[in-house]
Amino acid sequence: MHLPDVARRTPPTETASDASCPDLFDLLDVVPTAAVFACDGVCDDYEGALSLFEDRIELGCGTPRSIAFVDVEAWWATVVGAAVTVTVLARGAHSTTLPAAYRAALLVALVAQLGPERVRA
Amino acid sequence: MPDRGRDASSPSDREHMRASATIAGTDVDQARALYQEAYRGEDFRITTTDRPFRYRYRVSGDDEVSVRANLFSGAVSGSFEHPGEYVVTWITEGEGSHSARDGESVLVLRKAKLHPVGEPTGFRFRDHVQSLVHVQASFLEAVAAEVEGHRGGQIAFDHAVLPGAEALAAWNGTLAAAAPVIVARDATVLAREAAKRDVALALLETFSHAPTAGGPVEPAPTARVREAADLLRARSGEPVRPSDAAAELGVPLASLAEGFRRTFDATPDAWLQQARLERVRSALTEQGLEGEASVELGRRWGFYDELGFVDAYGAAFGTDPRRRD
Repeated sequence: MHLPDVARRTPPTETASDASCPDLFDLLDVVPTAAVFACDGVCDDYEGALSLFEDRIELGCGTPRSIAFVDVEAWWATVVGAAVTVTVLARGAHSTTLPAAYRAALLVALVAQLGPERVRA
Repeated sequence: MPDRGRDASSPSDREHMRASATIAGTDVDQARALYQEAYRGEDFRITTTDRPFRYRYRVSGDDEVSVRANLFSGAVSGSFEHPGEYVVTWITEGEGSHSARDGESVLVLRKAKLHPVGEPTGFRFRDHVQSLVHVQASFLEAVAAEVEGHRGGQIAFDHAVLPGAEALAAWNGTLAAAAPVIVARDATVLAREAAKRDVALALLETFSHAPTAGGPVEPAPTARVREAADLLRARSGEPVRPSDAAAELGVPLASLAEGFRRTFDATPDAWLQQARLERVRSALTEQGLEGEASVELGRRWGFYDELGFVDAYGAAFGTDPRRRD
């Protein structure tokens, strides 16, 4: 049996040819997004946000100036289970490294995923 | 809600919060607030240039590895810190520089560099398009523990040593294969795990860092190594990691890895990969799969890159998984 010393799933020698790093917008801009959310800061109207989220329209917090496209996968609910709290978000690096509008968008997405009764702010 | 069961594509505790988001706008004050919070920064100063002011920040991935891009039409300066993360960045347009303890470094277009780690960093950017790869510190350090014997704490990267053309080409090659899996909505959890690990390995290989201090790593006892090997094999259909085995057996990951090296001449992850390849081979035989169907099966088991899959399978069994002879 042959085992590589350090296992990799892709052989860099096969795929590497260019030392010029790519523009990652070219990769990211083709990722589909599921919803549109706009917020001037932290949103606290979860019920309202939920309905607007589901309708996939811009969430009105005054004139939308910042727009976040949020894509949340269905398995979140199975991962986090019934006892979801916002601290679930706080454990992830995202919650501490991304702006308030993004965190709010995540929360809205979580509410949309689980239902407001299962999310405690 | 799809019920996918616990097979190679199952959700499990290993699933991390994933999201894709774009934050964009044209308001200077809001941009300052958003970026300052995003980068845990201070004293961000934004001024307009001869271009209309706008910004667009795009992120996709999870809390362990995320891929990001940032467009900023304007001039911005200030200072930031990335606690808990290692960040690789480069610009594809405009200009930018970082200043830290070891002086100022000007970013070269399309040449990746590692953000200074663990210290406040000054920056100055103008009309730029930037790409970033964020890797959670604990995730990278666990991979370093397994493959390099790293024993905790911050990895001592040498920011004065810039990666050469060959190293950058290898980084780009890994990123070209792994990043689409990291951002994809439909990638299996094993494929995503493998892609994230490959990015971490590529980061370690690309950016010069000091070897771990403290002398040789004491190997875990052979009995423990065999227990860990059994555990990894038994759970190879799940997104289990060598660090899980180390934690369950109460053995430091670096010691476990050293034990694997002496017992099997391989890393724990190589052992795990072998176990998965054997599961793939069984399934290919049972189902009589070939061609693209076998490649797809490999993807489900974490072999997200076709060439990498064929290479690994060929090395393990001496045959091409795409052919049924």
